[in-house]
Amino acid sequence: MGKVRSKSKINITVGKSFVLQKVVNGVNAAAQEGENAVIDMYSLPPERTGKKYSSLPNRSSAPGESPAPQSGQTRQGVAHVPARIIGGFVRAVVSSRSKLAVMLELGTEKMEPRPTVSKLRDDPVLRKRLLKAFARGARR
Amino acid sequence: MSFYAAVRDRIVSDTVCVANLDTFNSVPALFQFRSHPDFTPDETPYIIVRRPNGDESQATFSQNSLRDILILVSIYAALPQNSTFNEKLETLAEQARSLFNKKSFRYSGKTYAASVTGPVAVPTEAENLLGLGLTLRLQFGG
Repeated sequence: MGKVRSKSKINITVGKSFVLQKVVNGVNAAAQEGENAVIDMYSLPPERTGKKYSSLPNRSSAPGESPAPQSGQTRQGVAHVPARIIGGFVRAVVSSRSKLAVMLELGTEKMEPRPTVSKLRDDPVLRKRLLKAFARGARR
Repeated sequence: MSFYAAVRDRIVSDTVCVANLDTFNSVPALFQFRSHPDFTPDETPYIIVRRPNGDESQATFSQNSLRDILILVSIYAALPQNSTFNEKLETLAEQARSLFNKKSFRYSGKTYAASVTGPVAVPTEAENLLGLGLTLRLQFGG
């Protein structure tokens, strides 16, 4: 009895390039989602539980909470660098350009940290959100 | 026992850390959350052990729980006069890192696996103050 066989040919070079483009699309989508997530965290609600200073419009954050929006400058400074291929990795960066953002993120000798951007790495709910965004982006 | 006490005990039991650490009221200058208002920083480093930055539980009713805790340990020191760097600051940061990275960490009857990120530069408000930060990740499964 004869056999039925199917042969496929894959051009490895074209295949790799195709997969790499999908990964880049996915990382870009995840970076955009990360930027959106950080902006959300720099926004209200929820109301923060720190001190209310009379000179500031909103109640300040308590240690460990994301910073409360006051002038909006920290939130405006959030951006992402599109994905690039660097040394075998596809890498995008989500960051805040505001100098205050670094102080809030890591704390200072006088102020406890208000981690926000690092939650993209550490919070499992946010990590899932980024992975889903990656999967959506990679399918395009 | 608190996380702060467990971290403090490991650091103060190390002779290299104690040799490079400032004192406050005759005890190693290792503060919880923030430094004492009467403490004046100088060229000898001091440490602030922050409250956990993250404490995630992925417990389910039927499976063992994973508790994932992040603690930021910040080390600050003034820049010595007539110098461009503070060697004690770097020495203390690296030694503190070696005390926790890939080591077990016993707290409240449970053993956590510890890993460390850093030391990385952390911002300071005072112009002459330098800061290095370590992030301790403590993971407990079961």
